[in-house]
Amino acid sequence: MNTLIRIEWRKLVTSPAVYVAAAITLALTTASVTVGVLLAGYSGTPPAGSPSNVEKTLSVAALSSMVMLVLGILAVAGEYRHRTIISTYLAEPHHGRVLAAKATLLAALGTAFGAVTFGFGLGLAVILYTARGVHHLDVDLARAWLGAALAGGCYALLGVALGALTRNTVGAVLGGLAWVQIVEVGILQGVWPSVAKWLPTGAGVAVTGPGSVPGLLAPGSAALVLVGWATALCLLATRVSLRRELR
Amino acid sequence: MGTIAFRGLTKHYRAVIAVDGLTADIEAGRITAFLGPNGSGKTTSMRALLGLTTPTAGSATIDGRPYRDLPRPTRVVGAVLDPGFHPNRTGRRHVRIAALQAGVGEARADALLETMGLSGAADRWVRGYSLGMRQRLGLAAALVGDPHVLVLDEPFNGLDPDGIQTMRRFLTGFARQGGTVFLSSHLLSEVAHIADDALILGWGRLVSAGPLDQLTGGTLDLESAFQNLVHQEIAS
Repeated sequence: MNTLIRIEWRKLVTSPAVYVAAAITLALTTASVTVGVLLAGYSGTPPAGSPSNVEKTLSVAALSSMVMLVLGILAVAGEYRHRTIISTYLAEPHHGRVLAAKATLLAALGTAFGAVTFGFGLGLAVILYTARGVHHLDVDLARAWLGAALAGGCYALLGVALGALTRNTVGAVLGGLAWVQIVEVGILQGVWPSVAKWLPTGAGVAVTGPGSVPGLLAPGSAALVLVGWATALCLLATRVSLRRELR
Repeated sequence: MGTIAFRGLTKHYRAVIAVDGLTADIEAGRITAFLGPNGSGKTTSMRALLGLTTPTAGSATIDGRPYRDLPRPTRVVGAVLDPGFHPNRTGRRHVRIAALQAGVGEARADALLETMGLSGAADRWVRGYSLGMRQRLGLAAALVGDPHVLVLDEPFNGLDPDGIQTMRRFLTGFARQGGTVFLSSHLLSEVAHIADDALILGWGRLVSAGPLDQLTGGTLDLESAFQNLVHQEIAS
C-alpha cells in the first residue's frame, strides 16, 4: 500500500492541479482575511476583533474544503478523463487498492492543506489585527484549527468518492459545487434546517466555526457526522468501482 | 514462459456478444497478429486478457495465471492499449511513474526514452506530442518493467515510415530474444511483414488461427486471405 500511495503522490505532484489549488487557496485566503480585518467596523459591520468579526474573518476552512473537494475529484475522475486509468489498473489490477491509496493520500493531504490554510489565514489575521490595535482574539482558535484540518481531509475524501462514482471531471466538479452551494446552502439550510444540519455542508460549517453555531450540530457530533459521510461515500464508491467495468 | 491462453473466452454486453468462445494459444518467441474487422472482439479479448474487463465465461491467462494474479504484472506484461497521458505532464515523468509502478529505477525510464528516440522531447508536456510520439511514449512506459510479453493494440497507428521501420525492427528483435508479441492491427501489409502467426476473429468468433504462411499459402497477400476468411464467416 505504501508503494501505491507513493505512486499516487508522484502523479499528483507531477500535474499542475495541486499547485493551482494551493495558489488559488492562498490568494483567496489572503483576500478574504484582508477584507475581513481591514473593512471591519465600516458600513455597519461588526468592529474589528469582535467575536463575530473574527469568526467571519477566519472562516477560511470553507474555502480550503471546497478546493480539496475539487482536488479529490480530479485525482480520480481526472484519470478517466485522460485515460491514464488504464495504465494505473494495468500496474495494479486490484481496483480497490488503487482507490484506497488515493483516499489515504487525499485524506492526509486535505488534512494538512486545511491546517496550513487556517494557519496562514490566522497568521495574516494576527498581523492585520495588531496593526488595527487588536491584540486578543476571543474565540476558540485551537478547535477551529482542528476543525479546518478535519474538514479539509473529509472534503478531499468526498471528492475522491464523487470522482469514482461519476468518473466525469466536469460533471463531478459542477455537481459537487452545486450540491454544496445551491442544494445545501441555498435551499435546505433555509427551508429544512433540521435536515440540513445532518448533511456534509451543515456538519462542515459546525465543525469549522470557531464557536457553536445556533441551529447546527455541536462541533463534536458534527465531526462524527462529517467523518461518517466521507467514510460511507468512499465505501459506496469502492463497491461501485469494483462492480463496474472500465469503459 | 510467456504463453498466452484463451479458453472459451466469452464476453457479453447485455444482448451483444462481443467475444464468443475464443480458444487459442499464443506462443513465446513469436509475433502473433490478432486480426479482424472493426467490432470483431479483438480489443475486448485483449482487455479481458489484461484484467480490464471481466469475461462472461471462459478465461484468458498469461503464464497460466489470470492477469490480476500476476505478481508485479508490468514486470511480466507490457501493454499498450488506448494509451492515455496527462497532457500537462512531461513524457519523462510519465515513464518514471511507470517505472515506479513496475518497481524499477528511474535510469531505466530515461534509457527507454532514449531508445524510443524521445530523449529530446522528454521534458516537454505530452500535450505537444504527435500521435507517433505518443505511441512511442506508450511503448517506452510498457517496456519499463522489462516484460517478456507484449500486448499491443494497433501499435503502428500514427507512426511515420521511419517509425514503422523502427517498430518493426524492435518487435522482431523482441520476439527473436524469446519474448511473446501479441498485437492487433488493421495494417495488414505491416502484419504480413513481421507476424509469425495470426488469429482472425469475425463477429466475436475465431475464424482462423495458425502460422501466417499457412493462412496466405506462402505469399505475402494477407489482405486477400483475410478477406476470404472473413467473407466465408459472413456467408456461414
